[in-house]
Amino acid sequence: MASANECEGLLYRVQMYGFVLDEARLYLDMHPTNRQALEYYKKYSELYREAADEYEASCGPLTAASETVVGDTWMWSENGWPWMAADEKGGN
Amino acid sequence: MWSYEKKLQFPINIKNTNPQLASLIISQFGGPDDELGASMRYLSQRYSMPYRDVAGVLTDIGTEELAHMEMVSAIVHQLTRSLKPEQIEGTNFAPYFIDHTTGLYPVAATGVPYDASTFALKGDAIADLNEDLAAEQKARVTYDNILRLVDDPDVCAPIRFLRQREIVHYQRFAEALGRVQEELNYKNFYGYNPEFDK
Repeated sequence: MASANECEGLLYRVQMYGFVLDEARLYLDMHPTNRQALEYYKKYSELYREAADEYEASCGPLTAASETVVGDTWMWSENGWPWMAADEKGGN
Repeated sequence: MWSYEKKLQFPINIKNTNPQLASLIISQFGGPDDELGASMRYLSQRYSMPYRDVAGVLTDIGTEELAHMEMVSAIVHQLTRSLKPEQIEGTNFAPYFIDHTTGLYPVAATGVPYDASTFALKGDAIADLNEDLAAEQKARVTYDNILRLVDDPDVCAPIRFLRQREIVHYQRFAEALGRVQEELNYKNFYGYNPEFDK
């Protein structure tokens, strides 16, 4: 597993690409035939997937459908939850 | 259905607690122009919306508003964690603390609990989209007012992000309204409700 700092950096990339998709998705809802927007969405979907895979491989699952069972451990609640401050994420 | 992504839409790491500030920002969780009501109104307006692209924008903005509700809640939580009673005494947060301790309860900055009447839904495409345009502007004003009173950069950054999203949602709803009007008679938009009259 990566350190908390490394995970924060990896998550930052997931958040960045995730936001690009959130923004482009709303645009495409109202401009569904804009070729430039379609290409843009496709490109950033791939970058998002790569960033999410990299985060999940070293830091734990982003969704419950990801790898939440590792050996005998239920990983979903490990490493705390997104609203927690950094010092709350360890322990129980 | 929805599935949870274990991340905030924008990072929030607040170093210094500030219960006074939390009692103002909580208005965007339970006040008259809050994120909770915004999400519920857009998601509920989808069902009678006859145009699938407009129903799509309501779905995606309604979903993003859930993420904004989570961000506002995270800000309030981080501003009020590990407080000692003497840090609460004498602040505007004290009355809230008496009723809800440091849990998240949807309430306006003025102390009025969340009211479903802000969850406006009329079942008419033009009325509802105009209501949505106003909701985005009113939420933008609330964030402007918060920014006038806040100087902690850890709080300002996510609040500025949320403010910017209100402006983008306003643009998309304006396009959705234009899209609905294109389907109607230009001489009289109001003679017909595409959600009811067939």
